[in-house]
Amino acid sequence: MMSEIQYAKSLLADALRLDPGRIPDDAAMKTLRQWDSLAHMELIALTEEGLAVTLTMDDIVRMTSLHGLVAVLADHRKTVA
Amino acid sequence: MNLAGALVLVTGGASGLGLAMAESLQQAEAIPIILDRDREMLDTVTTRLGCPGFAVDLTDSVAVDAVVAAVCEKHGTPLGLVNNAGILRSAPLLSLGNAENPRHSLELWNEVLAANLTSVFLVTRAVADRMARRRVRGVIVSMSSVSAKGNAGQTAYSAAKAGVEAMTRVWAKELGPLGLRFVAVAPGYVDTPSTRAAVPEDILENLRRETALRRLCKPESIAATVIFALQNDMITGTTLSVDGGLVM
Repeated sequence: MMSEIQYAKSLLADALRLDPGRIPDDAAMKTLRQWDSLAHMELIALTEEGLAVTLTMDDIVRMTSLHGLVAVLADHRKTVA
Repeated sequence: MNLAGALVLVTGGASGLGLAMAESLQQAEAIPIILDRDREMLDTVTTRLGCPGFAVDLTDSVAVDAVVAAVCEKHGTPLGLVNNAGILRSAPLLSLGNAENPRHSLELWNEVLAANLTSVFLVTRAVADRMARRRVRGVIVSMSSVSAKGNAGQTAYSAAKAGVEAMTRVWAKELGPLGLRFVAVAPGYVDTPSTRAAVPEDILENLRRETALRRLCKPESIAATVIFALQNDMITGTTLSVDGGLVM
């Protein structure tokens, strides 16, 4: 089964149109050139679709790094569970 | 969008086409909120319709942000916005018979761009920001015109309306992932007092004859299209022409 960080990387890779292997563990909007505002919109849409939830503005601001995205995913899985 | 009980901002809604839209929205059980710079007409219309209204200069960035904040604070985040306000001014690029002023004035260019393009940018920026932050899957309908295709004698107006259509496509792409929709509506010549004041009768008659359906648009037809654009949740990033076949 895919771990949370692997799932986060797959979402991010899909949004950024990159190979998941090219997403470093410390990926963040500030450091990854391809992760711009429009790619972030794509990430929001993919995450909402994947979790079947509507993200809050807090979530959207938190998920500007891979670690933040993992935390948002974990929070929503808890809510769903 | 389900219009029943939905807050929908209508700019320039105190008269003409905007008023027809506000009335149609009310008939569809939505709650129109009118933004207009003419306070006197605004008071008359909002009293008659029993809906909220705010007086504002839509070309003033600070005033637009303030009025949208006031609307949201008092009534909540709107589900819809209809960018209807604008002005119609015509002038050719060159008037060679006019020895004193042969060139299109920059002042007129700036006035028309501010009223028809910058205002749409400012209001949409403020409202879309609120919608996105509150995760409201709102709809923004902006009035274009057949002039967007390029009407002789309307350099500034045509440029502004083409700009509105381009912004509609850009915003649909940018904010579609958040569920926001953007639609432009491009009427032909609409039979309103302001059209009759701005366009000479013989020219209007020629336009009527050039229209496939041989008649000018009625405000109600445009309002019905705006309602359709608000309600149909698969329409975005496009321009709906309502011109009776004037431009094909």
